[in-house]
Amino acid sequence: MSAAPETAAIEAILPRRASPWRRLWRNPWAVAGTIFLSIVVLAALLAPVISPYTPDHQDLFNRLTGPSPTHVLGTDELGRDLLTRLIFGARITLLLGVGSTVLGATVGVILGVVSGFYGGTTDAVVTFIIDTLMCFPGLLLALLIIGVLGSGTRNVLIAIAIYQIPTFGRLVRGNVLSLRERDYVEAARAAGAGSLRQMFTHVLRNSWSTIIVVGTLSLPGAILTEAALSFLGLGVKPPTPEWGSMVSVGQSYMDQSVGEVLFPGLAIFFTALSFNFLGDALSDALDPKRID
Amino acid sequence: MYILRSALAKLPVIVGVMLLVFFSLHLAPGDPAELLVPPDVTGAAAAQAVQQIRHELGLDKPLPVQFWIYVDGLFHGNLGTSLANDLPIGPQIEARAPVTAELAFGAFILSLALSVPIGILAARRRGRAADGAVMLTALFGVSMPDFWFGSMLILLFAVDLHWLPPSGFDGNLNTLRGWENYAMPVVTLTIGSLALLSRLVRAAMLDVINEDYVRTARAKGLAERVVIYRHALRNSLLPVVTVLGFRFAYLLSGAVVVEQVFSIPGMGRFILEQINARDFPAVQSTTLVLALFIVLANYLTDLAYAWIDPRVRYR
Repeated sequence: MSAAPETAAIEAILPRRASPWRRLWRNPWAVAGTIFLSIVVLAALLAPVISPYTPDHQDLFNRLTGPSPTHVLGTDELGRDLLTRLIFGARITLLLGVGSTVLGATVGVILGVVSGFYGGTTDAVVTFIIDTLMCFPGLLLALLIIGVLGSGTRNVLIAIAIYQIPTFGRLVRGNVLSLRERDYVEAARAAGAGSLRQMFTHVLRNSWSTIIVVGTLSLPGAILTEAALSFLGLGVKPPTPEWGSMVSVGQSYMDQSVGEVLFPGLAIFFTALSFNFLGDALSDALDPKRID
Repeated sequence: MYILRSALAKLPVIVGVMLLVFFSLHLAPGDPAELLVPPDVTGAAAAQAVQQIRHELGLDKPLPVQFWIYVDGLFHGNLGTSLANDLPIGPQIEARAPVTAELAFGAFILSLALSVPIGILAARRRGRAADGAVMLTALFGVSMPDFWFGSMLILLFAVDLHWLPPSGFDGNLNTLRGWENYAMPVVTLTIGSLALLSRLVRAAMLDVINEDYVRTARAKGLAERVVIYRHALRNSLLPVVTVLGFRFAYLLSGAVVVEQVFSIPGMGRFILEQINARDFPAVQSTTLVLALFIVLANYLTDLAYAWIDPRVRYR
């Protein structure tokens, strides 16, 4: 019933290949990305412990200063410590980026399995919804949703999650359609086991690696959109520290001090880049066609 | 015939876009009319305002009737009335659309024109230093927050070097000053698209470069340039053409951010003003117009695809 004997037989025929993990760690960019992301995650988790100040602490005699021994990355227009705000900002970015992608992927996978499994009208309706959603670039759809729901952290999460649904829905639906034709699934169905729940198990067992890769590669987009929405003033509201809105405020003071634009921007850039490195390397490492 | 057939194929999507935009107001929790009342109106005045808005927008009619009235209005060029300033929305969009179109179109041409040679270069030097450099730079470009890149350009070229004005583009490209204003916004908008397209051209070229017919062309003794640009390029462009409609769509929505960075009075800033003013009918109409332009871009993509690959027309 399960796919295990089949896989074992294939592995006996094919030449041995290095495990995906080992191949992943052979890629220096993936290693660099993972190290950077670990730092960001740790900073987010330990923010109150490791920050030199509190995010709202104002040092009014030292406004818009450059890096100095007291303020390692300098201060913003209210004399708040940039390093501290950068560390706290990691929380929002990771929460919204990862949270929205997980939410979007979950809904997408469910829709994909249901529409592929039932076919007929259900499939037609889901495909229609997905096609329509795909007409809108992510940011535009997010603007429409925020236009309805209003701005704020929760609504940004929902908006970014919704525009990620089609990617996963399409992927999984195609997977279900091809799975339905496989002999062992047909055999399972003939034996009276063709339930929707079983389809979920099969799909997840067969395409978890693709879902992980697509998910990782979706994260940079989610993070960049989240930052852009905050930059536009629609996301997290000040005084909560957030990278995108820091760049937006810093832009007004750029002729006096560049820190508030430069550092949060670099943080967004390197976080997105790291996820891209990791996603690319993952898709190489998990690609079953590659033997090396 | 193909022109007509593929236009008909777009109808469901157009209906879908209208449905989505129309019903988005009803997706929000609560009574849409209450959402539209300005926050400073309270008490009995608010209740009266709700009634009035409900009646004005036809929200007291059944939903299908409302949708029909909405679509009927659209076909007569009526995009509704702005709640913020009581002016018809259509002309307001018309006034701002050219600026955004110039930005998106410029970035589209620029990224296309640069990505083809860059992608080919990387593909021909596969695995070597030039390829590695291109791929790495492309990944940098995809990961770059555009609003930050724009700010950095302002910092370098306007604040430090005083070569270009930090803002001021208003759609005018008839003067040198206009082009100076245009330069930084259009480059900012180009960067992400250029990076993505270069990667795509490279991958597409690699798929084709080892085909038998390319080897035949080489074996005939054709110059490498002819082999690449005449024989390989045309086929390798197919997967690239399919995404052009999407790319244009992303540029249109990316313009929202770029307009904010460079204070450009286009559709993007218009949407932002509306969202902040809770002027929902205007948000709806502007999104709808942008989405319909995107459907049109996708349709043109289909036509371009059929023009490059005649097999498509007979499917």
